[in-house]
Amino acid sequence: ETTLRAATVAPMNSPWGQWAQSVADQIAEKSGGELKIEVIGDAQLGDEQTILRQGMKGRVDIVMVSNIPLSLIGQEVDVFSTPYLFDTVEQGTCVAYNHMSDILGPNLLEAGLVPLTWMEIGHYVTFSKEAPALTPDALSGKKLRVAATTSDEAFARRLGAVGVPMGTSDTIPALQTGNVESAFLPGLFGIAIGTHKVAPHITVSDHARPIGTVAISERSYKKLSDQEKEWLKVFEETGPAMSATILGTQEALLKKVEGAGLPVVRLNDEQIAAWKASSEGLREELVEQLGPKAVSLLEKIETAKADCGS
Amino acid sequence: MEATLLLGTVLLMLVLRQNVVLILLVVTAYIQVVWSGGTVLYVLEDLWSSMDNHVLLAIPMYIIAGKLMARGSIARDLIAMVRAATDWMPGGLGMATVLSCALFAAVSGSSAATLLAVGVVMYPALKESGYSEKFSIGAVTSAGTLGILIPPSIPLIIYGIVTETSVADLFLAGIIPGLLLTAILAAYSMVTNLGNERGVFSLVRLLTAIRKGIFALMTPVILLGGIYSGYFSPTEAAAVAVGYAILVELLVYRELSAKDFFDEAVSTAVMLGTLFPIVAVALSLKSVLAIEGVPGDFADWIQATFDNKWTFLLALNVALLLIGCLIDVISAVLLLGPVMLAAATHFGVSPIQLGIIMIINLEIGLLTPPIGLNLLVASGAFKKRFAEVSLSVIPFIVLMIAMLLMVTFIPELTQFLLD
Amino acid sequence: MKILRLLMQTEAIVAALAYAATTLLLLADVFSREFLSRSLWGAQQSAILLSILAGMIGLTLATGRQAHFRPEFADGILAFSWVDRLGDLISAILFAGFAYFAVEFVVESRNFSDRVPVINLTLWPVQIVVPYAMASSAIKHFVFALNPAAKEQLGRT
Ligand code: NA
Ligand code: NA
Repeated sequence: ETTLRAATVAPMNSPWGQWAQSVADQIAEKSGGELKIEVIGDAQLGDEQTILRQGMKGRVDIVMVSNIPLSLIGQEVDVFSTPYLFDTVEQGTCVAYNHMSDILGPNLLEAGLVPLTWMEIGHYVTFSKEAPALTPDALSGKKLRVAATTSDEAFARRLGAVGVPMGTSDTIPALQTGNVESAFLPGLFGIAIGTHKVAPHITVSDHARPIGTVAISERSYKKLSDQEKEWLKVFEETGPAMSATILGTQEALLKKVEGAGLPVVRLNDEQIAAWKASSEGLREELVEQLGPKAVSLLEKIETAKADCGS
Repeated sequence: MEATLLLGTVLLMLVLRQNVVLILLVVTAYIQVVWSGGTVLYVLEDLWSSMDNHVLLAIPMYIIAGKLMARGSIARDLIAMVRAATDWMPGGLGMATVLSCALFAAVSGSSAATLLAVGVVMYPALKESGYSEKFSIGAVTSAGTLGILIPPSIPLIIYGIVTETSVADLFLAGIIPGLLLTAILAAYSMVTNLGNERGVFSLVRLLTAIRKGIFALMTPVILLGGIYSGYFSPTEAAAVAVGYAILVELLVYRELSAKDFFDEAVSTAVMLGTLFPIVAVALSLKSVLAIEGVPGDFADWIQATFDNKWTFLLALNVALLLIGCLIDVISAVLLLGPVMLAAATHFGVSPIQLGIIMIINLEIGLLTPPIGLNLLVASGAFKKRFAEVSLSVIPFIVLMIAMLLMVTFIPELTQFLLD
Repeated sequence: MKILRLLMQTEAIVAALAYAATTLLLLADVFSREFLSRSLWGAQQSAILLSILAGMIGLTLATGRQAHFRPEFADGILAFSWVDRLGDLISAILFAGFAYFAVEFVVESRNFSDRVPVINLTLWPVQIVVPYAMASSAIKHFVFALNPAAKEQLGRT
């Protein structure tokens, strides 16, 4: 009998926590209790960086993290947070679940991690205190919460906004005091933690779709039998369904806050075009700045996109 | 067996005169290796990852700022200003003592710093004006504890870190209880000393003092104003405090030398060197406890034991007051914060209110023997016997307990500014 | 003894410089954001590293100044003067032990090429301060065990 410990910052009652628990239950059932996954959620083992480091070193067996801490294993991974990376939702899903192992697998292996599947974070939206950002110029000169990634920084600079990098837990207090006026956050996550209560104007900018990772420490993986490795495939099998659930829940939550009278703004084609135009050429610039590893990573992504169609 | 061995090791280390940092490191290593199936390496990893936290960054900054202000002219001018405004009233100098502590508390994160900065000036002044020995020492020692309730506050920062509560919100929540306690202590100081020597009111003196002290007076305005109008985070405010203190001392008073800054920075490093490992070890233990489900079990036990919120809160206060006698504020917050939070959540007590309740209890703990930091600092600084200082603070403790009960049973006191 | 004093003075200078730099970085970030409308990218990460540096150096400075909290209530159980020296010897051994694991910690970090995000800095050279602080504390306790007079003098540094 083997027990593997899986760590995540996601609350256990969130869609991510529930998915992890359901995978654990399925594996327990499939293996007749031979292989157990103990999910430790709610950031009990620390923030995402800490969890990822513990996974690399085999202190926890399985880690579920967003794209943000992945820059620990290589700054080039930031390419995945660049705006409008994918042409359509379907293309993004196809790249994530059919090609990501080829694209990012080697980087993870180098860091001592074996990918199990890829984790949907949802689309980024824009939360604002005063007014929605119908076009990105609305953010010009404003203090804007961004994630601590080079791609978010570059995008904020493009928009003429003052990008203030901070963790997700600092965002609500910063919006409250006015330390920032707007925030880029994944929509589902942002609403789940109550960001809309301090920054009610939600612009559904859907400008990025970061993909996180579920991976097992190589140190733990080596100790598993072939049979046990087989059972772990439940992660991979249920990945795409989890992605659909997250995207669906995000939409449902947006509708719910909209129904409660909150100003949720959906962009028309012209506005979307303006948002997209604001990030034109940004990816190439960023890749050049990040070096050859990023160039080849982007090449792989483009090949996968072509393969998936639009 | 394993627990006995651990206890034996701790006792042996105590007998062999080992310091707290080593004892805690050994205990954590033992727990990681024996109970959690890890290695000693994990202790070092946790040490690093717990220090790698931007909220923790605020602590050395507030300590340096407080030290610079206490050393230079800022504290002196704050006190001169308060005195000019109040010492002509009956019992005015007693009131001035409390108000000076409150004002200095608004720039300092610690109670010992507040006590020393104000006490060094006000304690002799009180005695010269005929205030009793007992009142004089009691007032500076007790009002010094306002340093950790009125923001900024180092224990509140630590509570924010271990319970993942917004430090900005905690600071805001501390303001009303802090001002109320100041008013209560000031009123008491005034009415019990009506017959003492009074100063003469002079508008010229007051205006001169305000003109000289305006830079000092601006410090809390800049810090809190800056945080709540969005110019900087609580962490950044600490750096702004250091920058402002240096600027004022350098440009206005011209009394601060590079050597002063060097000395204060080094003594801060030493202080942090004793504190960091303890914080790190507590956070490391916290994650072990979390894995074992201890906070949840404790919350269940609390829920089964107390049938309603009010009996729970009363019991919580009694427990914290007893604990406050024995351990220092920071350790108490580190060890009890997460566990108490789990229990309080069951009864619908907000993390913010719980934080302020804990801080007031531990503030009283600074005044209760055998381990009462302010008692120790006062008896050292003013050359008084520990027992004498302990007796002098009793009336103030009674007032603080009254304040504690108000904060416990009127959640609006902590909630009002947040809404 | 002279060497130990020189060591502590150097450590004090490093710690003070680290705090000075921390303050300047945070202030520069606020200034740049509020007045120049541009964040100083990586200022916070750098400030954290510098304050860790100061704190770890502070740990060994506190050892030299005997500033670590030490419960004294059990001192009477073995009330002999040699217990102090024995205690210092044990502290030296324990700190040396933790220094050993701290080296292992740095080696692991190097093997996994652990980095600081945003400023994209390789972490292990910075982390050397951890084994350094432990080893430096071990040496100080060892000197105290050999020469209790040194302990008296250094405490006043
Ligand atoms: Na304070
Ligand atoms: Na006490």
